[in-house]
Amino acid sequence: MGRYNLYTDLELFGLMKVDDRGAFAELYGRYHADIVRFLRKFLKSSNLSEDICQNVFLKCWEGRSELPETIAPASWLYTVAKSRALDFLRRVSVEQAAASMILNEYPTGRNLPEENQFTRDYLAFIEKILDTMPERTREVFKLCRQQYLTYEEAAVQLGITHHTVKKHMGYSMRILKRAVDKELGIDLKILLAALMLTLH
Amino acid sequence: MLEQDENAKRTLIERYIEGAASESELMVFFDLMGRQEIDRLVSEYMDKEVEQMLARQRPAPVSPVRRYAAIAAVILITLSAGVFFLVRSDPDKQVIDRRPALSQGTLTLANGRKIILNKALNGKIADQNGMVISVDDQRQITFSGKVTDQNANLFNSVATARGEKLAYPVVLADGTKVWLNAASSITFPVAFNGKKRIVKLTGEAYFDVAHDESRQFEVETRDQIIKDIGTSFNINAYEDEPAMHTTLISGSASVNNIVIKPGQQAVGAGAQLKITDVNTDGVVAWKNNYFKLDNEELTAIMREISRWYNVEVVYADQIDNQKYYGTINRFSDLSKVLDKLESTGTVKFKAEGNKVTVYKK
Repeated sequence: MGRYNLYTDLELFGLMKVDDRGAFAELYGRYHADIVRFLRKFLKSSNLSEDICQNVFLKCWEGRSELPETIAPASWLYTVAKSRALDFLRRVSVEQAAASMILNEYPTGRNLPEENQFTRDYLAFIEKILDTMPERTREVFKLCRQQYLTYEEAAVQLGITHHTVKKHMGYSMRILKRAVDKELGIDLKILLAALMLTLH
Repeated sequence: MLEQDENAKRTLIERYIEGAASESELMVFFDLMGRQEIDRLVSEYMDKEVEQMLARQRPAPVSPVRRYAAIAAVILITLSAGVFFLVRSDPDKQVIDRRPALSQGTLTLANGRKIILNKALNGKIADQNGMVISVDDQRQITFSGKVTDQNANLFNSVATARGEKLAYPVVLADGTKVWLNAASSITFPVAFNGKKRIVKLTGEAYFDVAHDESRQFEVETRDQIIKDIGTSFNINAYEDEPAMHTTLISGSASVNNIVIKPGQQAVGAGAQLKITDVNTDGVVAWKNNYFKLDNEELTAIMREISRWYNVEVVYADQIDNQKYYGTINRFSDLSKVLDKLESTGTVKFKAEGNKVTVYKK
């Protein structure tokens, strides 16, 4: 523990401007864990949150000569982290790699607490958007589901060709969409597994 | 924008953040995000979170003197379990007290049907293709029956809300017993038929695993995968805790493939996993209906209180995050617990409805 712990955040920013690495290390120590926690709340993946956090601090060090002198450093760090997180969330619907990072670590869905007018409206809203959703978005989700049971694995299990499984997956996605919406919270992969068995 | 749509969007975002969204909801969430239709709302939720995190932050150092003063502040609460002396009467203290967690939970069957698990249940409560769920005479929820093609892929979940604690342990089809703390959930197959027995946990639970060498038992959580080698362990995986921790009580288990011994705790995620020795009494105190404070920071205590009494904790002042020792009965009303903390610490509380505000004394 060096003397750095005695400086305020703003003083650390000041020291970083004159290339003080120790000041940067102290700032990192103060905020790294909290920023990862913040990111994880919205991005769900620990690895991804850690990566983005590293990126935020990298920007902080590389752009040290232009760090603000009137904004609290903590606020500055969170603002950068927030904008990176929003950027990432916007990419998920079009980039399979981005989607799989979040979807693979996303917990199994839970049912809505009770059925009433509000939840009915909510389900209707979800259904409405699903109907208008571009094919590419569904495509991305479908690809990500390979994580659970790859097409190859499914093909071996069922004794059919890779191509046939792929066709079934696409078909099952479409017909299950409505059923899933009605039973919101039932995990699609469980339904898929059930469907696979009946196909057999 | 229609007000109705706005509400639905908020619900969607909240369910995404809570980790409760289904596949369909996830698709819709990311689609709307990609079309920049919910950016502003998500951004709002992020701002709110940042605000809370900044408020929680320890105060920045002002002068060296202040630092040393903070280090010196460690407090001892000496009180015998369950005995309280209410001597002070604070006019600020509100009249209606918060009761401790209700003995209640929700069982969700594979078809989506929900059953409230309250103390009144007895005997058979459901039958899912030959798998019978009942409350037995030892007050346990049991899953029993033959594994068939019809029930092998059915998943059930048992969950408690904030301010709820399950009155019964759940006995899974393999004989493994699970105790659930407040604001927690466990998802599991009604029958285990594969090479592995895999269950998912959010929140906190105590597991007493029925050992079976041929079928490894695994618990999947936010940050850790816990594999049993014949074991009792406690997992704390609350989203609002800084890091999740798994504590081995007896037997042998591995966390993210690192083997831990009884009395050891694995803290954190991925490669940053830390193994430390802990006093296990404190870790499992919740299961025995105590708050056991063993050098616990105030902020950690307040997080536990917020889940147990279903209250929101707000810090009005910057506080020194003091550490406390002691034992408190979990079935005490909230005011008693707050009084006890107040009488020995450097903070005071104001409880209004479902909100507790923390002030500097």
